[in-house]
Amino acid sequence: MMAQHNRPVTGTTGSTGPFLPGGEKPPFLFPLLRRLLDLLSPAPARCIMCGKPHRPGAPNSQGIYATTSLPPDAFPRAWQDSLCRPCKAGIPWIRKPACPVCGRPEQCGDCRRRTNGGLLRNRSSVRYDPFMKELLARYKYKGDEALLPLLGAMLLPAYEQLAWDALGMRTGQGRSRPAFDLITYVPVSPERLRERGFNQAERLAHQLGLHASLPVAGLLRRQEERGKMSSKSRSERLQASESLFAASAETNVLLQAAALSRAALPGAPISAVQPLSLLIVDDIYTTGGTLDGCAHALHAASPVPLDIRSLAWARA
Amino acid sequence: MEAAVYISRSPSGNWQAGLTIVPEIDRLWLLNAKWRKEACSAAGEDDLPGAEEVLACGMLPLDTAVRAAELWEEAGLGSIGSRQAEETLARCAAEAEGQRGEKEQAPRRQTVRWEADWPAAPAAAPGGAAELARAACAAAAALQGRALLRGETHALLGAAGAAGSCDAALQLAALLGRLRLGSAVAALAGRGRPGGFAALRCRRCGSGKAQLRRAECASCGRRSCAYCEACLAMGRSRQCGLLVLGMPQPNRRAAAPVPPQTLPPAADRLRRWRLSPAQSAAASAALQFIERPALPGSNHSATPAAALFPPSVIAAVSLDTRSGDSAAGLQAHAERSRRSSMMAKVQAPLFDLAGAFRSRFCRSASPLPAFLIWAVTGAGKTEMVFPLLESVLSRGGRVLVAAPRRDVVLELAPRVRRAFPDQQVVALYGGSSQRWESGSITLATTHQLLRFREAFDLVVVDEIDAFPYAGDPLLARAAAAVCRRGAPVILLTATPGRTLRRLALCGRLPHAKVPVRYHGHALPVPQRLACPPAARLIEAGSLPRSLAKAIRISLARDAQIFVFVSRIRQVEPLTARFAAWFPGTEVAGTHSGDPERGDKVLRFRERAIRLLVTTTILERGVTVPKSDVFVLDANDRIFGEASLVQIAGRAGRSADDPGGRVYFAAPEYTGSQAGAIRQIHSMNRLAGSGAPGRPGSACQPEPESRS
Repeated sequence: MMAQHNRPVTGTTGSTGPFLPGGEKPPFLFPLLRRLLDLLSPAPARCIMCGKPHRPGAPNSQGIYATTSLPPDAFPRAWQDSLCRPCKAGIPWIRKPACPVCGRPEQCGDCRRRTNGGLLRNRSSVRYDPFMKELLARYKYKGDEALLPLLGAMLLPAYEQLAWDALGMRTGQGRSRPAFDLITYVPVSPERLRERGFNQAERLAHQLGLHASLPVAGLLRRQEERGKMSSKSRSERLQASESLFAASAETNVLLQAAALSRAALPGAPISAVQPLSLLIVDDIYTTGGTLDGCAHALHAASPVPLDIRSLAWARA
Repeated sequence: MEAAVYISRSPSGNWQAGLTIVPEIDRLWLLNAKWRKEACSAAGEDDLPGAEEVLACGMLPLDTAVRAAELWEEAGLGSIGSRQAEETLARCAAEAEGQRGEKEQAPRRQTVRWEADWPAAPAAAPGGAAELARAACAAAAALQGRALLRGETHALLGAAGAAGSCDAALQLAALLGRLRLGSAVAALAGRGRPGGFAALRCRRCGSGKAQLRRAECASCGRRSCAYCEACLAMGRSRQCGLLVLGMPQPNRRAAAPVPPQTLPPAADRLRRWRLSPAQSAAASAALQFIERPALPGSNHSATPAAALFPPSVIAAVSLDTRSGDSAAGLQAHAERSRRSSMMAKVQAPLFDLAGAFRSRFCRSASPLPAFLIWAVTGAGKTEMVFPLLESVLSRGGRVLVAAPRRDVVLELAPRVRRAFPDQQVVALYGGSSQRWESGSITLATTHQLLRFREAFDLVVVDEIDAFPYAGDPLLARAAAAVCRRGAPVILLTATPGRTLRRLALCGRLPHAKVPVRYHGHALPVPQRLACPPAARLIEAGSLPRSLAKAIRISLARDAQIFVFVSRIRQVEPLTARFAAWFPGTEVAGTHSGDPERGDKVLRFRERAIRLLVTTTILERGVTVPKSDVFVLDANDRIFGEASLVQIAGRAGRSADDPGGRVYFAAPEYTGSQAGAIRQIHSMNRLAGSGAPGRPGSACQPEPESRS
């Protein structure tokens, strides 16, 4: 009995976990043989979204998903291959925004009602349908960070639309200069950040920054948390987000530096400079209240005129 | 999250390392004798010793703090001067930090001397020592046998009404020795470079570095903080995350479980359940197994007092605490195998990939006392389990029944509640409303097992060969980890895999075979039917005459018809075809992605639907009286031997219609079809020639057979 009392709790000899009784040593050569055989077969590719094995580029013999609409051109080809056919077909891409302001695929009343919007434009890549909701929840709430590169790549179609819009060019034209001066993101409260371990908007912004070769900077902070946005009605949300955001301490300096760096003449007064083109990234655009609040806070704090557009991964 | 590591000098002059998630509580505990005394008396403990002097290192990421405490213990310094102790502590903390695999040099940690007369922060212990101690005891009681992440712990305590200042209560409970706190992903000693990534292991599910992913973390502020992808669906277990392990409670420890000898004789107990002869034979063998006299060393009633686990070793939240038990388990196995004449050493043949994998994985493991009930489909496995549950419950134990799927748990729950009306039955599955309740009977899907640790006196694993276990070492580990030390495991299956079969046959796994159904009739033997592939049937739009005739006979004898297909995408077109081929018959199709599946199965059972086209999703756990089974494309890889046996087992389950007809319709005859038929034949043979009724002969004209 005493022997048990002294049983060390730390010292473990790496038993992986017993279950089936009486396991025996496999034949000596076996692991080696298995590894050799493994070399001969291609690694089964797994769909990034659903995790099921699939064969990229396999001919579709059944013709069942032949009607699959192809993802937008801006969605990288490599990503198309790492999704299985049903998942690829299930992404509700927004191809033609019906509302030129918020990028909604249907006619929208919100944008007409708004009078003092701080945002010029919003574009979103996908509609926030149950499939996308589940995907985002897996990343945001379950913390499946392996999904981040995919979500980042999914931003690109909407980013392309915004970029052309920001440069005042028609869709599909080649771009000679960067469309934005700076990417920023919607902040989350410190408590939420500690609880979740990451800010999804920040991560998305960094992914986009990598793809688009643009600098990313955090310019905002969230004043205080007043309950989760998802549990609020439309008017409550708009009210809550009025004073929710404030520019962080270094915003002024950062924006000035960005403005100076692009001024045609080094000595030109700041006010003469073209408005600085900013992009705010968020995961979902619901009423636009959050992004609008961010835009207002930036306008208020900026020493230079700003053109602010926003990119939300999904449009509710 | 972050934690502080500290060292305290006991009155005898020895330094001990400790770890705290709420430093305020530890300061009060160690330095304020009055506070400690109050807390101890409220918790019903004798006064525990405090400390003369405490040196602490500021807040570190949880796993770093754990590592620092371990390093201190490893250094093994006894009574040394404060100066030296302070330096060692700083070095341990720096070393623990340096091992995070980051490039930048960690700043040298400053140590702080805790003073007794610092004013207590009111937030830490709002209601004073006694109230916090009561909350701690309540938390410890609620967390008994659990392994929960911090968020889950808060949810559970919130649900149990012990929420107030959660972390403080948890920390005090750990100081009282009633909980163990540790980081959810932590290094396992003796694996890889100490402190390196390879050494990390998820302490909840036991996954190694292949399932760990590193990411920047805002909770601990590090660039690389590992989290476990294998058990992500149950909440994120990460390196800086807290894992709370419950411990046996003092009152439990005091009450030794009633020895089985005091129970009435097994035969009397079995009678109550009105089992068939075959069922009761198996049940009494299993009863004998679980009530076998405890072997020396496996007596877990006398787990020593909580003082065994000082806060310094709380890092050792591990799956492997049962190593001390392996001797007992081995002995039991040796004893059983001696009875068997076949002592030949088993070798896995080269082609048996799955079997070899499994034996590889359990090679290093201490064998648990397991008993296999190998019962044919429709033998009434659930009923056989009831006497076993009763045996443990009547001795005051807790039991777990693990099932592979949520549907099965939902189906099982009312039956168990009816059988044990005076027991608290908790059904756990993803989204269950009883998630944080605890009861004497727990029914759970396999993933829910991750939330328990050494909690049950009997574990019944249903359908051990089914999807979630087969090939997933995580769930097997989870099932092993939920057993109390020495607790028996009962495995149930109709189609044991190769490894289990071999272990059973050579006497290394005690088992009972039930070759006959509860109604005493033999299993229907599948018949072969040459038939083009299902894809061709869809294309051509016509049914081969033999298959059409067989289905018409089934319809004529008023049976319900299962049509199994191999692919989800074939379900809908075939449903439409069958509706056209058999006008006037209600036809429906369902598959795993069908939201109305439950409803359709119900209507099928109620005979509102006569012919159901489905995939392997319905191969198990579905009982439809008077049904016939057709498997299209039975040569498809998806229909393995076990799967075909299970599918064939859907027919003839009720006593009114024990015949039932099963057809394997396929363009070619494969090994798994032959194997399935052979298995069914051999079970029927085992059942003896006395079994009444050959399949198909009792209630229907002999169908045409093409095989």
